[in-house]
Amino acid sequence: MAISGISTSYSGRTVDVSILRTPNPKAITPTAVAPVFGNPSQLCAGTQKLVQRYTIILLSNTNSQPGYPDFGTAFLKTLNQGLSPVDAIGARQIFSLADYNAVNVIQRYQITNPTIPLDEQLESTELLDLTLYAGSISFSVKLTTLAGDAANFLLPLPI
Amino acid sequence: MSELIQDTANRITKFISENYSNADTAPGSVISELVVKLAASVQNEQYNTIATLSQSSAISQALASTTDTYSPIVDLIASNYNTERNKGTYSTGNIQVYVSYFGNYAVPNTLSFIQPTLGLTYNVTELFRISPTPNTALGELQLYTEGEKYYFILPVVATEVGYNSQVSSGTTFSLTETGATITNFVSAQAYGNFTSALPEQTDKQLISRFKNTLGSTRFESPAGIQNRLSNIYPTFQTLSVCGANNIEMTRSKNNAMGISTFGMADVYVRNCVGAETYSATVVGKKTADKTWVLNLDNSYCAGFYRVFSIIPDSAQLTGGTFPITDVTYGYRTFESGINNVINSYRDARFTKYQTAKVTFTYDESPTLPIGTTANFVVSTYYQPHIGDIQDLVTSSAERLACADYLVKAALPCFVVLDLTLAKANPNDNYTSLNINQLKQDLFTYINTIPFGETVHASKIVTICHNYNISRVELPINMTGNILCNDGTSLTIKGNDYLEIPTNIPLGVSPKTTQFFINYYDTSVGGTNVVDNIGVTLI
Repeated sequence: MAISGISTSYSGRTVDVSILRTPNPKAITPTAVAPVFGNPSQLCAGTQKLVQRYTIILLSNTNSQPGYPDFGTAFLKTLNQGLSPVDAIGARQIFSLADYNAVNVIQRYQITNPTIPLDEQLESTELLDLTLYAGSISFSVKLTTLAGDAANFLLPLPI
Repeated sequence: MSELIQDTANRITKFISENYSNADTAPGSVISELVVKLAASVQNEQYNTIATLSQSSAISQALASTTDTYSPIVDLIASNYNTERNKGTYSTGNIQVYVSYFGNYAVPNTLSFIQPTLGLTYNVTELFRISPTPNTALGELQLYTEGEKYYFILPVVATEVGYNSQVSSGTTFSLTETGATITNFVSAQAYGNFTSALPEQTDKQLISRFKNTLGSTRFESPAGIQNRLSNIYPTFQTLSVCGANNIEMTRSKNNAMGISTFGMADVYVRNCVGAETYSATVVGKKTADKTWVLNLDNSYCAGFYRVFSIIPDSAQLTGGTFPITDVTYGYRTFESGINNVINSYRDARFTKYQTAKVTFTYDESPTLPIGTTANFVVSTYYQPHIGDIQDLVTSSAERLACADYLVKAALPCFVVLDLTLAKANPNDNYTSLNINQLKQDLFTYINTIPFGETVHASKIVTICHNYNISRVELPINMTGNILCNDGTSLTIKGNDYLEIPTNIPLGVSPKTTQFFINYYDTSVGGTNVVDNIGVTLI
């Protein structure tokens, strides 16, 4: 199951524009997340919104936003510099460093904004697995909220 | 009041939160990353531009600044007055290159020369071919013969803008170590003074310029003349107007009663930082054994200071610069157009009416009969645009009908400084103390002193203390050599200050004379070069 605890009422919540469309709350197995534009407008809230924020921060390269040089991580940039198809340890290290920064950004915001619903507050993330191919890599990530909900999703990326 | 981009983002976030309370603007949200931050980066630039465009703040900040500023906002304000910042000009000049072989040469456009003592670099701007028999239609340059030596003259341009790059005739150069070379190269030196250059205009200067554009540009007042000339001639520096009630005005008193008749004014101008060089071919005539005479007509070079070089300009005659034995100044008015009232050669000295008869020694070989004529290249120190300015103020469209404005190049007082500096650190040397730059700073100071002011030793000491020295040894020896209107010169000396004296018969006064300094004085001839800004380290 991609997201646990999907029976919450989201009325009155702050919403974000959904550009990932995923993870599908009803999917049985983890689904890949990737930005998509051009589909009919959707909004998201709750865990799905948190996953989207986490993904955006993780996949934004530092120095890519004018005026905000520290926003994002070096995750994609480092992966794009090349990785051996058998270097799973290296891939885990790259993920861990970037994940630490992304989680920090979200948790710092949570501290200064304590009224955010618990299922939109990040408790932790965990790299469940990774699969290396020639030219690509797929990270399987588990995200847990302070409400106890968990979402598993895949991050397929080129290297 | 400008704001940071985060301030702008906070303002937009607050607006969204207040008006669309269900929009999530947390870091990483799409609204934050794709809406707020993008809008903030665009709005922030516009907000700050508008904030700074408040003229009172931008202009007052620039005027209050103790350092030179170059704000793009002041550029925008100036554009409202159809005024643009002068980005600076490069000094240009000619370098005389001596070579050891008589033949053809090719000089690539990558060739550079360096003045090793001052650290100034100059580039050749295009490819040149040099030949003893040049095809001038193809732009080839002449290889000259001077005794057993051969030389050609290359045009060069400084690599940096600013006053400092204007070197005087005879200044020695080397080829840069990393650039292209010239085969059979022997030595190189400045051929004539280089042109004045300008630094990029500072905010204060730009503000002054666009304020001037709002003021009078007619010739009825010194301020109007100053404004007008500043707008037309970028290198224009300053002027002094001597009218009926000034003792310097002697033209108007040339009558039986010796009383000023009013209506006349002498306008002394400075159009360049240092004196520049003018060269033209003039026909000379042999008048006696080894004696030749040149007549420089009023069309030769308006208001020139003095002749410093005469070299033959024909394949039959050879030789280097000839010693000048006598110069007699005169004047001649123009047949057409409006002429000023000129009573004597002294009135005409440094004006467009000036003429000169130059006698020089030339022991030509083979010996030519007396009466023979030949072409010579005559080079003089001068200020540009003296004739143009005179024509402007006397033109039918511009002139004040009741006035007679005579435009003169300011009398030059060529300054020599002798400084002794005590090192703060015994291991320091000429290079580590950056004495090159110190000389350039002193060059700029002396050459930009306004009319009526003096060279102050205290100011020189202050400039020296911008460098890591212990002290300046006193007294400072300062010498000035003033070219007078009768062709003679007047020497002044000082330790605490150097002040222009008042000697009306010679045309000298603080209102007519300007300080000039060159890095070197090569007029002593031969290989001797006097350092005009002498610095000794102890």
